[in-house]
Order: sequence, then structure tokens, then C-alpha cells
Amino acid sequence: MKIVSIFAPRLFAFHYSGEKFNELQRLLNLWNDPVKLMLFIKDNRSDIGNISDLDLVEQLIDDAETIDEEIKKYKKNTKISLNEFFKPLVNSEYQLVDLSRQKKRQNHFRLYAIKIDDDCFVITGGGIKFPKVHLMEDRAHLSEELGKLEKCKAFLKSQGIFDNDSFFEFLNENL
Amino acid sequence: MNNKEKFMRLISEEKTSTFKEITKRIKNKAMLRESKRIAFKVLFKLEELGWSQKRLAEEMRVSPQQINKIISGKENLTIETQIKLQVVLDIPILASYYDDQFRRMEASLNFSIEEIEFIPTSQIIPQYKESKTIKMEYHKYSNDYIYQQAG
Repeated sequence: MKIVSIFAPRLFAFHYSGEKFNELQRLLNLWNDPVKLMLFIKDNRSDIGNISDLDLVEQLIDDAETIDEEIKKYKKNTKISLNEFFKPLVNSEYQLVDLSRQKKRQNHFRLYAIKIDDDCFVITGGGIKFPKVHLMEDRAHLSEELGKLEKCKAFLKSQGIFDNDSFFEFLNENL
Repeated sequence: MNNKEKFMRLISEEKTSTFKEITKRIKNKAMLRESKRIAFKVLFKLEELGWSQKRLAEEMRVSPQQINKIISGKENLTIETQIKLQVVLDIPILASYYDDQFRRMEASLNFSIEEIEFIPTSQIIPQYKESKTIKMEYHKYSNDYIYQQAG
């Protein structure tokens, strides 16, 4: 696996071996693809709740647009910390964080990242979380993301990455 | 110079392909939104009808590649394509879908909306006695309805 820059020095993403795209691009491709989203909706209809198909689709289109705009906003404005973009999932040696919007309606899309240091994150993966799913462990496609997080943690540890300085030292050596 | 500064000097001002894709989507946001809406409408209708994409291509007399483009949600579809989808699948895509439905309804009822006169409720449903009657008139200059108490 390797780490690629989305907008340095603040946002990066893992690019896993055998995958065509880095995790952020892979997810954005999925979330903007009606055919793939339709397959997901069909497989997970029981998790959707009391909302019509067309209303759900409007929300998904809205959510995908918002994520694009948020990423652009954070790239453009270095004064806003990415700490506001990602909310803590679990506190651990590497903070695992989960993108979610502070709005009346929860965004259905999830981006998971490891916080390297203040305002520096590496995206490890993500998924779609419908309203009736309460815990990531409850659904295979989301618990797979927890597995990825652990793999990425192990990778960072194995490379001696534990803060900003060691992270950029690693990136410099692997340019 | 610390490692972060060294890294920033080495990579220069790069725009990753991921970020370029994001910028492109934002630039074409309005078109992409409508294209996705149409794609979803088509996909839901195909599911409802039990049609394959191949069947849709045959009904529309277009290539399967064209159907792939339509359901990708990335295409700036021509009006001609939108009309074909609307007719073949009977789904609302253009404004004409509801305008045409309204005209068919008017034709089947044999009167136009302008000809409707004010009829008190008690004449339609004798057992009900209205306590308040509101008359609604279409005002062509404001393109809106004006409500006023009748009687």
C-alpha cells in the first residue's frame, strides 16, 4: 500500500495494492455512480427506513455534492482545520475519525481516516451508512472498513510513523 | 528545514487527479445533478418493468452504449434523448410530461380550467353547509391564484 496526497500537507489517502484508485477517489467514483448506488440500495433496502426511493436518491445526490464542496473548501481555506471535517470515532493511539456532518440530516456517506497530527489526516476508506444501521460492526461492508483501519494503523506503526515529522519523513523517502 | 517543509518543496503545487475530478464535478454541478436524477429515474423504472438495459436500447432504437451513457449520470443528454426516455418509459423528465398529461385530462373532461365557474359547495354536496366559502381565481398578470371570501 502507499500514501498519496489529496492536498498536501493536510489531506492524504491510502492507495491499496491491486486497487486502481486511492481510497478517496474510489469512494467518490462510487458515490457519484447511479448504477453502483442502485445496486447498493437494492442490497440494503431494509436499512433505508421510511423514505421513498426518489427522496433517498435526492439525498444521496446532495450528499455527494456536499462532500466535493467541503473538500474544496478545506483545500482553499488553510485557516479552517480538518479537525472540523472529521469527527472522532474512537480514541486510540491513532485517532480514528469519521466524516459526518453536523446537520439536521445525517450524511449517508462516511469517510474514515487516521489522524496523524493536528490538521493532518490519511483517509483509510469509507462507506454508505443508512439510517437503520447503528453500529459499523452490524454490516459487513462497514465492518470491513474497521479491518482496513487496523491494517493502516499497523502499516503506520511498521514504518515508524507516529506524528507529523515521522509522517513527512516517510513521504520524503518514498517520493 | 523540517520534514514537512522539505516535502512541500519537493512536491510543489500539485493538483492531484482526485482533486481535479472534484473541481470538474463542482464546475458541472447543475448538469450532473439533472443527469443523475434522470439516470436514477431510468434505473428505478427498469427495475419496476423488469427490463434489461438491452431491452431499453431496443425499445429506444439506440445502441447499448448509449444506454450506458444515460445511466452513468454523467452525460449532458440531448432533448431528443430525454423525449425518447419519457415516451418509452413513461417517466417525467421534461416539463412537457406534466403539461401533456394536463392537456389530456382537460380534453377528457371536455372543458378548460378558465371555464370553471364558482359553484357553492352546498350545491355540490347538499348535506354540507359551508361556514366559509373561498373563491379562487387565476390572475394572469401575477401568474398566481387570488383567494377571496365569496358571497
